[in-house]
Amino acid sequence: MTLPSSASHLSTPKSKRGSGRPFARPYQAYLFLAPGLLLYLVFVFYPIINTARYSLFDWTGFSEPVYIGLENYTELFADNDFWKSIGNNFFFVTFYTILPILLALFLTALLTRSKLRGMSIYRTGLFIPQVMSSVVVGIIWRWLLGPTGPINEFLRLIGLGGLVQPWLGSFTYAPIAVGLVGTWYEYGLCMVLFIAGAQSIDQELYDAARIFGANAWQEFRYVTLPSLRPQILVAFVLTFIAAMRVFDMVFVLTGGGPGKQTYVTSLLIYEEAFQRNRAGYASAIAVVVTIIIIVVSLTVNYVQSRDGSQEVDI
Amino acid sequence: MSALSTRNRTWLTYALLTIFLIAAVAPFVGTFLTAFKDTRELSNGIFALPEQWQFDNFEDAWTGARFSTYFKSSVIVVVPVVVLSVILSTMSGFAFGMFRFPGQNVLLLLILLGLMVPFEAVIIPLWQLMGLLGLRNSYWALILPQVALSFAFGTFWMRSFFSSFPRELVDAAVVDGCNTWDVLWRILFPLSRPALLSLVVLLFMWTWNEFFLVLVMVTGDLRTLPVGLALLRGRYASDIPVMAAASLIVSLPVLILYFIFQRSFIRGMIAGAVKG
Amino acid sequence: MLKRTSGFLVLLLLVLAVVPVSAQDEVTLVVWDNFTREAETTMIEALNAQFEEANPGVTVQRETYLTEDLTTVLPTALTETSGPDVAMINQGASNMGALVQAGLLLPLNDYADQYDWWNRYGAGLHARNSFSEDGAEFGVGNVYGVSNTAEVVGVFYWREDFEELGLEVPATLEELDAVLAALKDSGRTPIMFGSLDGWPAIHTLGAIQHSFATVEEVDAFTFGTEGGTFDTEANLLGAQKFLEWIAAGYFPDGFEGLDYDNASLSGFINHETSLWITGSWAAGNIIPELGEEPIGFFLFPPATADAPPLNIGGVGLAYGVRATSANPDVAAAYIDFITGSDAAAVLLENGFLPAAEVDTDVVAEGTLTADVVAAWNTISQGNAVGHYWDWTIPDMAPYIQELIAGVITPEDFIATVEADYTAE
Repeated sequence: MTLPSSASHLSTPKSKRGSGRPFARPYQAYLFLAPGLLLYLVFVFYPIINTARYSLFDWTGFSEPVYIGLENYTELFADNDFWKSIGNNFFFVTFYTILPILLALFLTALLTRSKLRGMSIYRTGLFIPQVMSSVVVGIIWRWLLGPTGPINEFLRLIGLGGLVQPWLGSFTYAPIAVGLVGTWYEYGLCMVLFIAGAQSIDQELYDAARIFGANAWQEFRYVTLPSLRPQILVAFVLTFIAAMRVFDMVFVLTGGGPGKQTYVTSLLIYEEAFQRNRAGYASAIAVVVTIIIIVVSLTVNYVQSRDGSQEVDI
Repeated sequence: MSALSTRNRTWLTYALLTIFLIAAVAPFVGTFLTAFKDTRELSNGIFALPEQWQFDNFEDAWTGARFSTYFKSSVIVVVPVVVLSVILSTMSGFAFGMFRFPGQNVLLLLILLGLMVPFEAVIIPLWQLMGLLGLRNSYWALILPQVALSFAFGTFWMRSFFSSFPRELVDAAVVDGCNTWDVLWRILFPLSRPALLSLVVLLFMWTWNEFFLVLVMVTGDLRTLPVGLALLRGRYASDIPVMAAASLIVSLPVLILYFIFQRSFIRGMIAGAVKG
Repeated sequence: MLKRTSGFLVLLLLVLAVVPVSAQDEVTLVVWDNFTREAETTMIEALNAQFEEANPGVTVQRETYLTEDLTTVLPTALTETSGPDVAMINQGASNMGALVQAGLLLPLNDYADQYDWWNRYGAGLHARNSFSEDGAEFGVGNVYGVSNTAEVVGVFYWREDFEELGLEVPATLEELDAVLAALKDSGRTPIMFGSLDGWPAIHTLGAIQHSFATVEEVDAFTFGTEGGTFDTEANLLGAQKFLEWIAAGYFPDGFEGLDYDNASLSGFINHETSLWITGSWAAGNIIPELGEEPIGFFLFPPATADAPPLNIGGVGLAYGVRATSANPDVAAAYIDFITGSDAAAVLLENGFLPAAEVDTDVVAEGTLTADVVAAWNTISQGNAVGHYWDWTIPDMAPYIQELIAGVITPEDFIATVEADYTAE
């Protein structure tokens, strides 16, 4: 079954670019780009460059920086907290990226396949978690997950008292609990993306599948899923960045504890820069995390472009 | 699955969706109900209705915790950030989506970088820059960086929209003698409504909820709601109903905007999201 | 559409361009504090008004932060000429020490002589706000701050539980153990404790460890003087006792998941437990809810009967002056006022424990306030003020959480902390 292929989020389809070339004067592009780019260069890029520069210095954030070459980086690679936190970030990728995408695909299948009434209510309601501030989300879940909180009360009520846990304080369950709150928060964005994508799938494909006697699962597997590939890529990149940069939610829920079970790189950066006055070292961590994010995003994009039929230029 | 009758399948779909819907909105509903309660009533259970619907908690948060002041600051910051960054990223999205120019990919990657760097590390250099420009402790210190960050996201958003735009329309306009500026603002801009509205909701949401930048850059009356909420959540605050009311005050504007734009939002996602 | 938008934008930019300007001819003193609660705000603003009245031409411009946010924002703000003139500064090497090292704070010795701050409270407590000029040595050299509040980590208790079971305030750790067993036997949960936030664990475990320790040991560890070590018998015995209490079920079920504000504080006020080991600041929350009578406060008792009770405590965040302040004299006058005896009386009325000595006659006997003031007087006059471990070991809370979870044994715990300590 051949399906319409798609370019990735990061690409401009070359075929289109070749055929239609409405604007003869490409320098105009720079004019359209200039005002925003100027602001970006001054207020985002310049501070980023400074961060990279400070990663080579011993610097408290308010002292005279002292050049120390790559010393911050050599220290970093021997720092257990760094490895523990980057490991936790990758653990959270499961909950911030993989699970939300799977859950969103499932919900998309339910919401788009059946032409039932009231679907827009579900669509709106299911997106609510994503709209709320992550600090508010953290405060609410901290309460829900408390030892005598509503979730444990509910477990006792339905006779599953044996499952009661001090979720956020438990060495074993805190990472999972924090992760699931992340899943609850992130799936909405994926879902809306997928629904949008599914609505633009050619109805003829479904008709064809039905003629061949496909059941609901086969239809999803062979029609919906392949058509959603570009949206899945976007969702992956956005939620992967979210998992690697997560801060507010962990800060409010557990502060990285118990022990260092939910400690993540952003928390480490924050503590090194602002609690321990080691802004130079914190900058080095940020540089390494950024490189990891870039490498993973570009790899995923590359794999996607190789599998897809269209060329991708980043 | 195929063993199920259509009607059973319909019920199963509704049941599954309802379970997920409850999981999605229950925390919000609980917060909503709690905000109207007295501290004593908490033991009645989270979903028990308030004995008396009272607004004391909102009043405490609004006047006592100076949320009225923080609300004003939030509005003063969020409006220019959203307006400016939507305009700027429409233009840059247009440049990336419709033109082919040297350095295009490098510039795109450069802008993408802004979305990937952990922000906590950039804040001190940014703080120094604001000092250098004499803008610290002013609304500009909140607006300019957030416009620049939103521009990074908005450029991607609008770029994918414009690159999937039917070329025939643009070609026709050019033939009719429209210049590039007119093509963008007279033809493409009005047609981009769905993508723009969803961009507005996302940028509004992120700007509205920004905490760290506000904490570091400004003091006093210039602070916005999330910092006000954090102050309320101080070491000594244990008044859950007031916290619930305060959380609602912070979340409500975004929710209202979302409900208003909901339909266009979903449609905008179709357009703004990647298309082949 | 576009025209309207840009018109609106121009209007908006014009509005934003109007930046507030402060008066130049009069002195505006910018003060940063950590009084975030409503009652505290009322109190401190009344005090500031009093100061303004006594010093015509001076305007106090107050900013408030949560303590942790204050720690985050203050260093960079002090590098600024528009930064705070007076600010509350957290003690310890990574806070006040780093600020001294960067030359951001004004040494206050001359003002201390002028205003006779030395007699506000004991010399040992001034050491907590003192650093060598290069900021490297803690507890010696210049004084960089003066505190107006004090705190002591001790034990709050429900008087009615003690009356019902015929219990006495314990004078030794052994007696405390007997009290706990009796409370447990009566079906009560003895001690409120939650380790979710981390820092309360430092107070609870630290209190037990201080019970075994001597003041010399904890001073040497905290100030990093010769022989300073965490690897002491006292710390090991304390850690073992702590685990013993956990195993005996003296803390609430699921205490690992309880936080301070919503679970511990309100739980104790709701009488879910009989005791609570925490700082005297909690009196400020308890009294408005329950009044002065139902709750009492005692010092955590020593392990041996003849030893003086050594309890964690000290003076609260210290008021310091920015090195580049244009009005250091006004700043010093403000500090003299806010840490002086008039302010102390107001602080006491509002449930704070003042650092400066107060006339104890104003406090009625048998009240919680009286208990707290008495406890503070005992340790501050008896040179028995211990230290918070996290001043020296920022990662202390995670280590204790590992100890609680059984990931490490008490011996491992001591070794881990000691390794961290010697790596500094």
